[in-house]
Amino acid sequence: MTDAIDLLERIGRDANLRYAATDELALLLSRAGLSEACQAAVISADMSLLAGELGETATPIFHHSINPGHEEQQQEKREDEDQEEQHEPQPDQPRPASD
Amino acid sequence: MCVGTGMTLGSHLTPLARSQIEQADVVFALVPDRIAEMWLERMNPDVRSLQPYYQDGKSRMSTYRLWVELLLTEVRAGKRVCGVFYGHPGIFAWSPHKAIEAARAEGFQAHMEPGISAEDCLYADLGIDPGRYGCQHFEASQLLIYERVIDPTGYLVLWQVVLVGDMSLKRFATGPAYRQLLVDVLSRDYPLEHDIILYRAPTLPVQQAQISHIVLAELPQAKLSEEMTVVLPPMAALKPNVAMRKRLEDLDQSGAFDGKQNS
Repeated sequence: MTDAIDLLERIGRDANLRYAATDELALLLSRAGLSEACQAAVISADMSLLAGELGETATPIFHHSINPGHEEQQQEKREDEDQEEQHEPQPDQPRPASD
Repeated sequence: MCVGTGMTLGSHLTPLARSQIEQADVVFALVPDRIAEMWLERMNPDVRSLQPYYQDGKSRMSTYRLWVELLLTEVRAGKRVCGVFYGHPGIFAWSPHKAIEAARAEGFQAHMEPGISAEDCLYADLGIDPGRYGCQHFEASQLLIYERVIDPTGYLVLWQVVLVGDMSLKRFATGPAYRQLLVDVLSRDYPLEHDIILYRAPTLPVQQAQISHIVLAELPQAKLSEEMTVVLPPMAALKPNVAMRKRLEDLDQSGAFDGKQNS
């Protein structure tokens, strides 16, 4: 039996399904044999419900911040302060020619 | 190898990125949710989530460095390693760049494959062409912590607004008082009634982009999630550079352009 993950991938890469109406998607999911609860989870894009339907007992909160922005500089500053120096970030400079 | 999944499950993964995931000995993944992790697990039996390394009260920078070390440890063990990051692995993402840099420094082959980023989705969903008026992107905290120059004649895109001003590096959200400081900075260049856009790219193919409009003054109290981006459209017309236009005309009239490129 096709499961929700397979169906989501299929919906994601099918030009007819990606922007299909909700009732069309519901029909697809129903024909694929998904349980009513799983169908509802997919249609509503409810991550917690969907993960539960897929057998996940815990659905952790996923964090999305993967960019330090200023944090690398903050860390460097702290290290510099340890050395009694402070440096703000500088733009990359052209490296001198090696020859 | 670091690859991006793109933003939307099933829609954005490139054939080459999929192949890299499938052929890796070990995959480290940072994707939007558990569903996306389960999707990756269909492509490779050894997918290790990077999400558990985030911890409340722990410096995010420490987490980013730990991720790099996790990848490098397996590389040093002779494994074919693939770091999978949602969106584009090199846009607003520190660890993939560092991991590749560190691997190369140790003599290993390392490479980044691009993915469709939230920025790419934003342009498509909001109908913005960055070539029209120009577009500045900032991690929101940078506008508070550094003296940055905003050009209000172009678009301004602010990332990670939900944790703006977090000097502790340990939180995943700050709050209205912090966002009010951001508004204070922005109000030097924009009126408080300036229309701004809150945007979130879809991560599941049954979702559509979330787009809402508020005015700048409402930003502190707006309901924001971690993955939401704030867009400020231009508030002033482009100002012609009269002097430079005159110099260009003079160049044209002087015959400086002879029709041969790079001459």
